[in-house]
Amino acid sequence: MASQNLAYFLAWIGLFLMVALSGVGSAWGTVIGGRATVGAMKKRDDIFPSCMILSALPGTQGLYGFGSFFILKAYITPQINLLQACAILAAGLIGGTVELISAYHQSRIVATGIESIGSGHDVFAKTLILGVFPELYAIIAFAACFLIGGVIPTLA
Amino acid sequence: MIEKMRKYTFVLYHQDYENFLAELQKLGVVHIIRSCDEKTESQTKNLELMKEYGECVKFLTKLKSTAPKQASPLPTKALLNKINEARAEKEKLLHTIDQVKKQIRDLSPWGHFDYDLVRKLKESGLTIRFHTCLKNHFKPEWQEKYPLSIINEVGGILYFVVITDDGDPCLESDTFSFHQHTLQEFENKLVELENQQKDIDDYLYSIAPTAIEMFNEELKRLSREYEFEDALQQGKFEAENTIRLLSGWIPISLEQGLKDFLDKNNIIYVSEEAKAEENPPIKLRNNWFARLFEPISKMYMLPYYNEFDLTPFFAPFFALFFGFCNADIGYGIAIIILAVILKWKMKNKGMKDIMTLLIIFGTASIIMGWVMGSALAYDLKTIPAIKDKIFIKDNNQIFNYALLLGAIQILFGIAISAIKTIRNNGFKFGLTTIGTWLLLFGLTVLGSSLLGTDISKVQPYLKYPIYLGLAMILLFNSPGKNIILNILNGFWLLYQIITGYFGDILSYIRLFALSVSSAILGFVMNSIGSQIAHGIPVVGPIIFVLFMLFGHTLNIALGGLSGFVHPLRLTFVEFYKNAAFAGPGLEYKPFGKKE
Repeated sequence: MASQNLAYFLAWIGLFLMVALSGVGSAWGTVIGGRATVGAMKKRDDIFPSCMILSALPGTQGLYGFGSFFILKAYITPQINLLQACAILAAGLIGGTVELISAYHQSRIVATGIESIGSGHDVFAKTLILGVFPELYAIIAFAACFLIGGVIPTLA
Repeated sequence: MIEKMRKYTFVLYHQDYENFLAELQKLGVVHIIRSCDEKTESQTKNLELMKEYGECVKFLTKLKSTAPKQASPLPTKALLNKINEARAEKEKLLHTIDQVKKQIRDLSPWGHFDYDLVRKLKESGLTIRFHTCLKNHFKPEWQEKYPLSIINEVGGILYFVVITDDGDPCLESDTFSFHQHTLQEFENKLVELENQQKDIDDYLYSIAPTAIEMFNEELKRLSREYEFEDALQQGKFEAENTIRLLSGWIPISLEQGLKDFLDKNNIIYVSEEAKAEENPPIKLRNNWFARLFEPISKMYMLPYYNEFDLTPFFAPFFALFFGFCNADIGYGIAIIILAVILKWKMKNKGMKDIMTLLIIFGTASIIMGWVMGSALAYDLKTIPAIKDKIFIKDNNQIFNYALLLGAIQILFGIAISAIKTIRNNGFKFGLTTIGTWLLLFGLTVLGSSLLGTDISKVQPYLKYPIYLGLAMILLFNSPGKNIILNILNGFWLLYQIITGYFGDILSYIRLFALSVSSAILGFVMNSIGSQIAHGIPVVGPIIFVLFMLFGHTLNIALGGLSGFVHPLRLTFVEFYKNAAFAGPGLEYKPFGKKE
């Protein structure tokens, strides 16, 4: 019974990490992009649409975290065992950490691009391309969570 | 594809040079080869003027004036000056209005009172003193001690007056000093200033459509003048400055018009085939479908002259990837409806083309939505009647197909690279690339068995392309060099090929992740929506509709952004790299058509 409770607790900790860290990363990232946009618009007020698109880029990591949560929450039942709980905790750590860090660093690329656009350089497309580089690893983390989800039933 | 170019060199008598350029500008087909980048004084002046007009047009456009156009009583430059003066005047007025408003804010708590009466009281020995203090600092005993009256309380501050006949009262409060003018005077001044501002606004609003039209015309004229001035600098002086030589590029498809003009005017010229090393400008020529994707190509860079234009090769993949990321019949229909409405409303041809592209993306979303069985995030596989018609049954298959698409695109890119190398350098130089293709093809088919594909029928034959590919990579990577060097270099190449290929393939996982995350978000919207619909009596269905509209619009917007940006990366990084794309090429900008 005690191990059952521990398993249940660990699994929820995993989901907490997954959603909270990725959410924090995206919120943080979009704020950095948004602030850069507001700053750049002091120089050029016609760049809002392209800067808004760039600012939105770090918003997707939060969605990956939420998507992972949605895939894995189905496995949290009162019958969950310790192995399954550890798998969910690992998924939470992988997803949450990678989403958080990739969102933050993606926002730094984006903010630099926005500042350049504000200074009159035509770097929107290039920033868009470079901006999705760190996102690949957030995507791989999401895919890893998905694959972990596929393993969990075999641990019953 | 890239249009073939021909280089023309015109030989002109120096006095005919300007007239010739004027005619060439009218033709608008020759991309002049630059020989000088210095700007003349008049060019610099023109640039400044264009900047001024452009900035003014931007300002006037923001007014969104619908006033009727009128015949301007002023010439263009005078009108520009007048508008700039009006704007400067308005700026000054706004500054003054701010100051007056601040004065009014200071005085308004005291209200309107007769200043003369205060003055007369002072002359008769009674001084009215004006005080302010925080409400919680006010002591009620002050009212017993002095003739004191509270006038107002604003934002926690009390405004009160004390009447004294000798000296200052001992109060722990601030005294208020009045400005030279009364509140009434400031209010009158504000009305007057606002009327002046309104007059300027009305003038700017009424003149805006006329001015925008005039300024745009002037901008065109100045632009042509600037371009002409620039072209004047490009002709090289020869034969003691009596002859001027001018060179330029022209697409072969437009050559006849130029030839006719040159022959008609007896102009001496030399023409020759374009050579790649001279870096001729690039003009893309594609069918209607691929042409829609040219703006995406140009987002990155144009290819060199002797390269392949990869636009028609990545276009179908790009649309398919967008559809993969937003695989939903409902979303596809929404995107198409939005694009059709915008296309109908827009006048700009470029924007219309972008909307057509959006229609293609929407169509791809509908097709992939059917393939994956999703309509407005509802799972169509739950409907028994159509369950068997859905191609992809579960998320694992989406994962596999994302990788499969990646493998197909990468192998396609390598095939393009092989053809290009053979065309440019000869067959033996392309053998390594062909070997790479064979090796990776074999490995891809082998790898597909790990994802559950039945390859039992082809497995016995897979060793042939793999071994043949390995042999080609190891033996023919540096034609003309000795065999040992080839083999050593081949191993290094092999390491790069294998690691690069698996890294690239992995990148296509993003298609799966975006597809699944979009579907999950849509599903969550539906779940919350149905709880609202069933859980709230009477207004539930209305809130349900509003919530679904908002939620799915948000999901489409995010999915659309990701569905565009990620295929962009897959195209420019994975596909371009494997197709051995080389650039940047110089864009074809004919003299007379430059913006």
